[in-house]
Amino acid sequence: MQDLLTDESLMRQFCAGKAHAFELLYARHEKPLYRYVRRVLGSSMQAQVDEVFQDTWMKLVDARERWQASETASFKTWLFTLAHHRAVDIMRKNGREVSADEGWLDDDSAEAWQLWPAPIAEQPEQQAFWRKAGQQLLNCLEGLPALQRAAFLLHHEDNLSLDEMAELLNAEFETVKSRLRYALSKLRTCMGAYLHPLTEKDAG
Amino acid sequence: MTNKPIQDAHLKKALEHAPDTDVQVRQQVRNTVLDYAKKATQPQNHWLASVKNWLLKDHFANAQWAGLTGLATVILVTVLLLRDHPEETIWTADTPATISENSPASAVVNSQTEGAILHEPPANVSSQVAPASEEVVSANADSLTTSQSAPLSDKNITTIHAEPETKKLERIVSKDAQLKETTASDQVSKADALDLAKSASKPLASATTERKATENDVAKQVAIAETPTAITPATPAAAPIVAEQNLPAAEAADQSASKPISKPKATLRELTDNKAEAGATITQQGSVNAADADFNSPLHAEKRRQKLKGNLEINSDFAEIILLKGGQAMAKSDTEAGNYRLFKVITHSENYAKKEDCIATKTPNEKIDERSGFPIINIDVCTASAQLLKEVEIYNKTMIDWYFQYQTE
Repeated sequence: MQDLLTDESLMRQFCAGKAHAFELLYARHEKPLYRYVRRVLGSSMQAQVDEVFQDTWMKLVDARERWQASETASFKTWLFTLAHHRAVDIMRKNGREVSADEGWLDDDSAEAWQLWPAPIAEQPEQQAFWRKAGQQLLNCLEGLPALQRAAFLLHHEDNLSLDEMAELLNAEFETVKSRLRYALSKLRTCMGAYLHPLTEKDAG
Repeated sequence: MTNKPIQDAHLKKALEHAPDTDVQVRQQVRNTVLDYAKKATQPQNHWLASVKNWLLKDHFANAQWAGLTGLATVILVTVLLLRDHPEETIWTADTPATISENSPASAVVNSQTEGAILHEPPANVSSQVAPASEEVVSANADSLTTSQSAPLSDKNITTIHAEPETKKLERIVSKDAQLKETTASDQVSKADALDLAKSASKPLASATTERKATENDVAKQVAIAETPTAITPATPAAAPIVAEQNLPAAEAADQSASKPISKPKATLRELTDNKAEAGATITQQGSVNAADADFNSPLHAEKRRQKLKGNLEINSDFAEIILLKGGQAMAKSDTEAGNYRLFKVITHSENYAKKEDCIATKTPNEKIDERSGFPIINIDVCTASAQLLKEVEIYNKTMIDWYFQYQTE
């Protein structure tokens, strides 16, 4: 029973003509994929979110036979790969620069989070803090190059491994790892500077 | 190279609390995607299969649907049959009935013309042709003989086997003849209307009789016009005749008024009169047609007189045609076509009184105009209107004028 409900099994059933299997797959990945598309495109391209999201699923439907032929990649990786490529296409069409833009790397994570509450055990009174942190994170993501942003989101939001990301982004493992580290460094700096006073005040 | 995650716990936590976490996909987008996937999984059935599936369901349980279902079944079966046998359908629809009757696979020409047998005329001529018209029909029917009535055992019969191309050509010419028939009918209708309007005092019975007579003559003319049709495919020299058959409808109508009788008759009579040519094949018509141009010269008046003597029998619908066309115009077209003749109107009031068919009476046309040598053609009518007499007079005058003009030249 457990095996019948995996993404790959559902996809096989869908390829065999069972529309219900697709509905389960869609329900399972609708929100994560939609969030990913929204965040990768950024606030300036929210008008294209629905288009990219819809095109991704339709592309999946049209290319289902091809997926059946090569089941090396997981369904989730394949789905996000389709979405990523479509998003990059849209960004390029809209004149957005899509590059890794390595920039600077200042790995000062320990210093950045020293005043932040521990993320493991969330206390009720910290809800407001994390909400503000989430909003700030979205703002900071806007400042990242598209490929670094994609790497961060895929690794933190969708929990894809570095290998999967390398496959998805069609890049070398080290390249992906490097992009991710650059993204983390920038985000820590951005987030720490913004939240520091609030955290200091709350802590005080 | 290690695949160990390098996630930042604080950033991950912040991402989980981002305000867009609970954003919902629009229902329209969701429906579009799901519908698209559903359609993709459905088999691509042909519309006929869909109808068939619908019919296989138990629609007969509801009496309301019984009639509709029956109708749909009939339509479906018809469509399926048409799909399965398209060629037969096209062939049936495209083949005129007259072809099988008037265009046999092999055209038989009786070369022993003196003993020409009057075979059963075609269906469109047979029953309505008056006895007096038999001469016209018989003279032309010898080349229109059908295979079923022809004595195939006769040694003197020359059979021209029709090739597939010949059949095709025959069909084309036959269609053209049908077009001619339609045009001729239109002309007759106009002439009828004209004549009826001018002789309003004429009894209705007479008008009806005249119309019937006109229709009979149209049928005769069509039969005559079809005469060369049966023999032209096998005779390259007869190409001019075929060309005439393919003229536009308006020109064909003009020719049906003046030429179709004289041309084929002349060629057939040529075969009939000349004993030396009795055994000749149809290709000899070509020499006759080529000689027509020579006859147009006034220098050959005597030769022309001999040639055209008695060749130009006229049907009574000429009365309507000359009224419609006008004597001068008709004479002009006749001279251009090489039809040299004069007309004489003969009234048969006794037939009118007896309410008999006026076409039945026919006087022999043995008279020749002494001045020009043109044969005088009798126009047999029950009643002659003043307009008809006037147009005939104009026609004759135009013909005589033309003759003397050329003679002086």
